[in-house]
Amino acid sequence: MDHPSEDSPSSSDKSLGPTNHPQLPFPDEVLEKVLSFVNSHKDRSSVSLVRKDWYNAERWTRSKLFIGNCYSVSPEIVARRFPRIKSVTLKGKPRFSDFNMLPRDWGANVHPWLVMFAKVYPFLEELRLKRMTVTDESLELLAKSFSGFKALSLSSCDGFTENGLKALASHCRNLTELDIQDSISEDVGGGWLSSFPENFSSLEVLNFASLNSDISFDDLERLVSRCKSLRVLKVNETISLDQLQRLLVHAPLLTELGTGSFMQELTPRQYEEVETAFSNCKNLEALSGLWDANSLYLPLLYGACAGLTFLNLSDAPLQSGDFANLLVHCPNLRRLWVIDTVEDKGLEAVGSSCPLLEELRVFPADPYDRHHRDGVSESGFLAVSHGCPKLHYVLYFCRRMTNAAVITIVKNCPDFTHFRLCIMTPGQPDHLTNEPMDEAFGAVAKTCTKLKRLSVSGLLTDVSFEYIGKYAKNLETLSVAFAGSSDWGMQSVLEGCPKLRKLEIRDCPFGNTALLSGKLKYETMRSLWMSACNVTMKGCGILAREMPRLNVEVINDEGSDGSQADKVYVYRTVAGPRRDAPGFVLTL
Amino acid sequence: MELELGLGLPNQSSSSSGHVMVKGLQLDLNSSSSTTYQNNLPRFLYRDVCSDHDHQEEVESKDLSLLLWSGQPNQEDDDPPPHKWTNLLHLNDDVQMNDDEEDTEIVGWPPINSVRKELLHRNQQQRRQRVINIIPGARNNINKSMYVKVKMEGVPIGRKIDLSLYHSYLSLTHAFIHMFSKYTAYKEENRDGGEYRILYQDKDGDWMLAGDVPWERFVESVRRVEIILRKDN
Repeated sequence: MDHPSEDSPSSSDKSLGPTNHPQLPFPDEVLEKVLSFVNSHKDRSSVSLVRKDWYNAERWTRSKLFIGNCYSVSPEIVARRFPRIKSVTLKGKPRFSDFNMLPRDWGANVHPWLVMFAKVYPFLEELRLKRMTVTDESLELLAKSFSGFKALSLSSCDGFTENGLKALASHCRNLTELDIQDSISEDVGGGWLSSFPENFSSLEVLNFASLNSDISFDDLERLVSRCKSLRVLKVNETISLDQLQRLLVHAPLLTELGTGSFMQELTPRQYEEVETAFSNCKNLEALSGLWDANSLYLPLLYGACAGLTFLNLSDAPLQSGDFANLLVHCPNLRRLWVIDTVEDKGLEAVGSSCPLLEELRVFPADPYDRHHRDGVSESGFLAVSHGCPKLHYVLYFCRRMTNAAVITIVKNCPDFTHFRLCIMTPGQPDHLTNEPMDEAFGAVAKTCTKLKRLSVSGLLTDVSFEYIGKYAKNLETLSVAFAGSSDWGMQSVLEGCPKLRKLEIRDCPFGNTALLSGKLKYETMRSLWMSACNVTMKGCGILAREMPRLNVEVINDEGSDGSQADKVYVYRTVAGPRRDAPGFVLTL
Repeated sequence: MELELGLGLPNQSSSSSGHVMVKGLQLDLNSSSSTTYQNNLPRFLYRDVCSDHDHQEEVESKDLSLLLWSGQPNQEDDDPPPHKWTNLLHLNDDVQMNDDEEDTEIVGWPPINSVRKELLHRNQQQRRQRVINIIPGARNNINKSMYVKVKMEGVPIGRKIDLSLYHSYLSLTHAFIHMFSKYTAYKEENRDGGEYRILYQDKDGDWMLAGDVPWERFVESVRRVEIILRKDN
């Protein structure tokens, strides 16, 4: 539900039904049939606001639930409104929790949701969770409550151990998808994999790449050979190359593969076998894993790369030479994730080898600058923009950048929808001119009319935010750190960006005036995060008082004097203040 | 100047405190409270990915160079396979971060997914534990002190170290760097690819390259140590 509306939408005409309204002669069944083709939750939200009978038809036909902020609504409200849900996507913690900025036990526990779902949605098939806490108890409840359960996806979740996964494996007879990404589990063993029953064969997606413990390879091999429909397999680092080869023999139709460790002493015969196994993967579209990949073994992959559209090297720090040689074999790449060990030279190779590239993410090998490596700079980014005109998504970590480069880059690639530039030293100016990076981001806002997501960095004055407010009319998500000169910066954005949904700010000189200037706007947004800014408890209190449909939550650091509001999280909700807030979260 | 030990330069910009910045070494991993910075490094930081040494023929990544000087792994049967040696390199938790460096780090910055970082840290800890279990005595400190003389080429005065204080080649190498940092700092002009090698004289009187035998055996047989500078690459 994009905007949680009340049970009776205020904009509909409550007194008229289809039989009374001459403009709408068709019966409910037709409406429901039509609505069954409407899948986007945003569209469905719009539909529900038209009139009461449309609202009812919509709620009865909705089968997929999307809740972008688990605290914006309660399980009870959801259960009352939607009687027939088969698939749920739930997101919990604010994104900055990924960067250690939220204390543990902040919340976003899925359990109360599962308790409700077990009661109301016995036919639930899919659950996709992001940044939520999922305990073993919850996984056990999930495993036992939904006989037709098919797909579980956990992204950046925590709280479970192998016991929860064991319950899932043992009880979900029809499981097709188990996809665990970036999640922390406390498990000591990988015994869960052996808990799939001997006759279990429905798996299509299995991703346990981020669970780092040993599993029984024999059980994995048997599982893979039984599951004839397996199309996505991402193993963890404990799986060796020759083990991988045996898995590939059983599953040549994979479309997505995450390898295990790519470093192993192979005999010539083993080398050939692995090479053959990769060459037989004719359907491979996505490749990841590749831990410890080096120049000797990378060529093993070449046979599998012709159809590759997504190459994820974010666990494989490569040098530019090896990287360039690999890219030659991947002409169809659309998405590429790399580590900055490839340097600008490697990015030049991207520009020349990957004309179809749409997304590039460059991660830092040395984020804390302990080893003083060069990484990538503006010239690498420029090279990619010259060679890849279809580029529209970039996440780029670098140590230096220039305004001129960014201006040229967006001229080359005007279709950016996601522009996330992280100049890693806070407040760093254009390294050639020493000026702020205002013009760079101004150019991005002006030129990239489709821009939906923007992360800014470097030395920035209010001017950059004026540009953003003035030009970024499609902007939905903005991330700001160590930037701005005054409240006016934040105000420009709040006043100017009509589609803004998420605003996350840290370490900026924005205070109460800026915070309060957006009070009405926050009800049209999913959330606002402000930390280490100039906002005070008083200002937050005023916001909370004046806007009862917003939750204004403050977390203060230890040793703080109590007048400053160190971390502020504001979000719209129809569920009122959190009932499960831990002691350190103050709801004003 | 490179030390061909998978380790890095002394920090030239720092004061003469002798603190060295060590590439490819695991640094302070004490998990701290949520308000201070967690120095959990991504796993790939443990590899010394030197861009200026693009050795195509080197099979292993650079952090094995500590043990595999000649590029050939030691093929003796009772040695654990090379990738387990890699893990041994990560055993060193003697290396503490310089306070200065810790202070300059900001919580949650740069915005890298710390869930993954912590995970990789845990991954690495678990593998470390596994390796310790496989190689008995890998963590044992030898109880009696074992002094050996250490001489560095070009340095007039030799030193003595107590080997019982170290448990791995890595911690030993780090100690050497620390010990000789003020001499090596002057050798900027040798920056033509020259690399330091650790040689030792064993109980039979033969001079060997350090790193070829398991640590335990090295400690048992070493009588003296010499650090030389090799000019060719």
